[in-house]
Amino acid sequence: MNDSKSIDTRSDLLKLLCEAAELEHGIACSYLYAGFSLKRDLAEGGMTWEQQQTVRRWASQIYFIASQEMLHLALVWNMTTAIGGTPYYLRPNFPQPSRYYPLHVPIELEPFGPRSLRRFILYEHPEKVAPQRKLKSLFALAGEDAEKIEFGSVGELYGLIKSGFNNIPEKNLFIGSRTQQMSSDLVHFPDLVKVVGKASAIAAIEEITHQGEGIAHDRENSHFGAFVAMLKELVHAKGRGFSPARPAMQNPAARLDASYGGKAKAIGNPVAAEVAGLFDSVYSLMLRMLAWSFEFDSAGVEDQLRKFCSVAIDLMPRVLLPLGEGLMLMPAGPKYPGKTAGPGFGLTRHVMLPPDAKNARQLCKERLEELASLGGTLLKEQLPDSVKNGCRHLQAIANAFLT
Amino acid sequence: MVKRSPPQKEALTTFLELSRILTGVNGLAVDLGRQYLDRLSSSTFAPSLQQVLERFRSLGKNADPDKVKQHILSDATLRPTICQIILLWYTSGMQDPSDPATPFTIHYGTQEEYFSGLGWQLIGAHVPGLSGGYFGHWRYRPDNEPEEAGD
Amino acid sequence: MKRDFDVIVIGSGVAGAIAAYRLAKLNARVLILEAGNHNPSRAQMVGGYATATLPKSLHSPYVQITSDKDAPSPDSSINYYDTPDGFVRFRSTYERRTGGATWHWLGHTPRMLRSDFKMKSTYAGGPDFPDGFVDWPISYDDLEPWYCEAEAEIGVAGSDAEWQNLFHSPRSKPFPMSMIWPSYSDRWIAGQINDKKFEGSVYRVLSTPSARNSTLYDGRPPCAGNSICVPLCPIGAKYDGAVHVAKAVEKGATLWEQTVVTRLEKDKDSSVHKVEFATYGDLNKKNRTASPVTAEMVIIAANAIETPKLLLISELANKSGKVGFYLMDHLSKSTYGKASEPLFPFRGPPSTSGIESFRDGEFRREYAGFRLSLNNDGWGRKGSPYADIVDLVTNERRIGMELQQALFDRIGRQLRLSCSVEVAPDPANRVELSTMKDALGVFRPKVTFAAPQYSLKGLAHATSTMKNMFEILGEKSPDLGEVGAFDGAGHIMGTCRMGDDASKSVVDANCCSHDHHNLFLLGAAVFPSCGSPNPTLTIAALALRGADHIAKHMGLKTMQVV
Repeated sequence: MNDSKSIDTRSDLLKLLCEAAELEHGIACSYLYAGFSLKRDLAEGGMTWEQQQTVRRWASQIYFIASQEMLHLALVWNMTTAIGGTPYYLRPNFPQPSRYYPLHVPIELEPFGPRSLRRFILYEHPEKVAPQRKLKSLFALAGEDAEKIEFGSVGELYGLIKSGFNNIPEKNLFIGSRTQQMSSDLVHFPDLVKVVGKASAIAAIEEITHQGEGIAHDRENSHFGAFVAMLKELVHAKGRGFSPARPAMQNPAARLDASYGGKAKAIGNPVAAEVAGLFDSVYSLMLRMLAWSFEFDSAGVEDQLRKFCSVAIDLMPRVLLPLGEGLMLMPAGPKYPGKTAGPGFGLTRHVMLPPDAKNARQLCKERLEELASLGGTLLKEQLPDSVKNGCRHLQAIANAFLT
Repeated sequence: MVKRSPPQKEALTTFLELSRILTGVNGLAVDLGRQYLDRLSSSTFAPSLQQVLERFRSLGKNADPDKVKQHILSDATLRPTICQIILLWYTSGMQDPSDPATPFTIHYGTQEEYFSGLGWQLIGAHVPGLSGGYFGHWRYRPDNEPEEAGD
Repeated sequence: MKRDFDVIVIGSGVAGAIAAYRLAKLNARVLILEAGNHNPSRAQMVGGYATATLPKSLHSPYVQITSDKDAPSPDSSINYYDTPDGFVRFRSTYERRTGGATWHWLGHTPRMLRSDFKMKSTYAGGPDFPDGFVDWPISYDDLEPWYCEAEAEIGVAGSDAEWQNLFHSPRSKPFPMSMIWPSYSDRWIAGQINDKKFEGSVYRVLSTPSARNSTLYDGRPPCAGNSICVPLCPIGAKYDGAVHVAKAVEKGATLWEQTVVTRLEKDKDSSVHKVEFATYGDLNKKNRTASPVTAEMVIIAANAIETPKLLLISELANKSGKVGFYLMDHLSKSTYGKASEPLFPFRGPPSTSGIESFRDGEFRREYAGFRLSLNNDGWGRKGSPYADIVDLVTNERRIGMELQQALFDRIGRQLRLSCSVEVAPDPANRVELSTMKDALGVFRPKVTFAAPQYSLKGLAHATSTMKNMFEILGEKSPDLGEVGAFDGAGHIMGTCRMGDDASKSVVDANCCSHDHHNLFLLGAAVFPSCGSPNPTLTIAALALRGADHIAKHMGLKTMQVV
């Protein structure tokens, strides 16, 4: 993390954009995990029909906010390629320590609840704004000494990035090809804009900070405002037996390796671990496909790129969502009594997809075939319906890609 | 909670097993089953329901959809009751044969029952009035798309 | 003379609420009078909807015994309209509730087109062109900045790329929010139908601009696909007039509910300052005074049935003799069929896209233009899935997994297409006073409506267009309903038309009564013609423009519309 107050070299700017990419990416996963944990059906218990209305509204808002974080990642990728870089899709596995970023909170995978909401509020807290006493007292209800919490902000990071775009001469900086730039016409990220110069770069940064922390006279329509409202509702909604979230474990791992740093926990139930492993593999492939799309120069082949992107995007709602939600209905294993499993969003070493479009397609085709076959094998096990759906949809997507 | 007598418990067990075969859904909620059994038992379908439950019991432990079709559904006098059982589990609604606007006037029980309707997910949808998931999910094929929907 | 208030707004629907908010924001002392009551919480209303008997009425979440009895509406009482012999009861309805009929609207907000404002000068001359058409005294260009203002005020999501310049009607500002995503069904249909031609127009599926959040906006969440927009949005993602009622009250406006205005009185100089009212039920008596109440300016924003009714009772604003005349309501028709592939209905808002291609063109010299909607609610209006379950079990004897598969096979490909056909203004279509009175002793409205031939011809073309669409989509025998049959669209317009000529119209271009300098009418009652779009955005734009004019008239500092 750069300690200087302003940035004036391309290399430093690129490094910060990588940091921003990791951050948006990690935060999106943290939100998705909380979203997956919210109960769907009354049959799951712990909620009345009225509470179910509220719980499903919370879930849809969290998913919406996660989708905006993904948009932020896409905007960061556009900024990166605009100045000659390549999209950075990696990030540390969870949990990520609290001092990694300007934030003073860890980025973790945790089911929905006061603790996770508190973390979300801290991720999105406006820069240069002293936390209001009301907000601090809201945190204090969670049993902590709110006065001791340090409020950092992703705004600081974007402030530095903005300084780079301001300081480095535009003519020298924007060397990326315009036909590399992705827009909502090519990939389904509504509100995704191309970055072609300083003005559009600054506008992208402002869109990110506006959506996240809001602006001085409009906090309520930001992620920050939404999470504060959600925490207030949750605190007041506690009735006898109200339990909105599935008892998913924290920071699960399908397969523990050294990259996890020790605090993640291996899923004990072997079938759940296989499903979590499949989730990680699909997630990794999806990321690599999207990152490749953002780097690929699509001049003259926009239609092909569009189709390629739509396969990647389709994996999210039709495979990752049902697998993620379904994992939280599966037992975590004997070491975790009363807990259910969850997706670890684990990333392992892998190559970027190659620049040549034909080869990239070949690698995706093979990998989708393998993963579809894994899904097919899993279908023979006792699985929640949503996991079965995810496996079947993976097969359908793979078949469509192959033809 | 009302303490149920052994015959009532037995009726519930039979009703749940029959419902499982009729709906094609495993793991039906017992509380819901109790509520639906009560609603049917206090409706004009009550006498026919008794016959349905007795006939189902007589099929023994090997009851399956084919046997239910052969021995119960084939009887036109019992078919409307079978239909009500499925309607209840799928939508929480019932028809009222005395209502002249039937067949498509549907009466409901509680809100819990309404939001527990199973039929909507069978068509890749959600109970109307409950969120389908998140903004924009309707753009994609459903994440609960039924099997072999075709392409 | 000191009046009780600066402005009285009669009616707290979208028009009245927006005007009240804008004027209260400029520190005017505003009183809103609402015949109905406020709704309970959304959760309670969802509960009421859930257990309401199918078919679920528009009124099902809004049942309130006292208000329904004492301030009845056509939603609450099937006999509220008095229908003359030989006519069918007027099919469109509204709620009398704080926030008005936008509680149960679908939320679509297309604008009127350039030629919709100038039908007479654009298309008149032929033998089939109805005499009732007149030009609006304002143009699309006059209203365009207010359309932008209205979209920001109520929160509209739309596609800038698709809607930049539809039929010579350009947009000067982007939509406040990006579009509500088209459904899977819309996208499939677009793939089959786009660029094909029919009757001289080219099919193009466009996402429909909607007052439905696609992002966090105005403190309200984005749409989560609860799918019951009509009759209620469970989470407040869809705009309703109560949003602006709350804003108006927050800015200092006073709201009196359960207050039915019974009469307005004019002074010797023809100004209207005195408003008489009756109340009912249990009132919160804080800060309320007895009838009458007075104000410098009076705005009637009580929809196109109640507004002329009140004017007729009060014998006001009618030197032209046109109050109540030219009632319009789009002719609506649904057609049903099955696509050749699964479309996964019953998801998302009931409609997310439409076809605008047939709204304008030379054919309007002979027959009415129309909007087409692609709908996401399958055959729900025909009893699906209940009807399908009953049929499959009772007639096809299916149960278990077989039933599940058959159910999906039937329902998954269900599609409803619908049209909304322009209604030509006809003086025979009108609102008058019935001889019958309601529980408070107020005359009920007598409503006469018959579809003009011009519009029935448009309906016939709309129906054959939908038939053609179904053919392309794989359905050879769609259910087109009865020939000439139509439903009400819930778009009640036209009974106090706007015009420059005081002998032929009720209000001027600023929505001020020709006869009373301080009496304004806001809402769709002032539309001289209606085109084919849903009217609410035009209502909101006119309300903003009208409020701005009233503010200037009162010497209040106005908002700059850039």
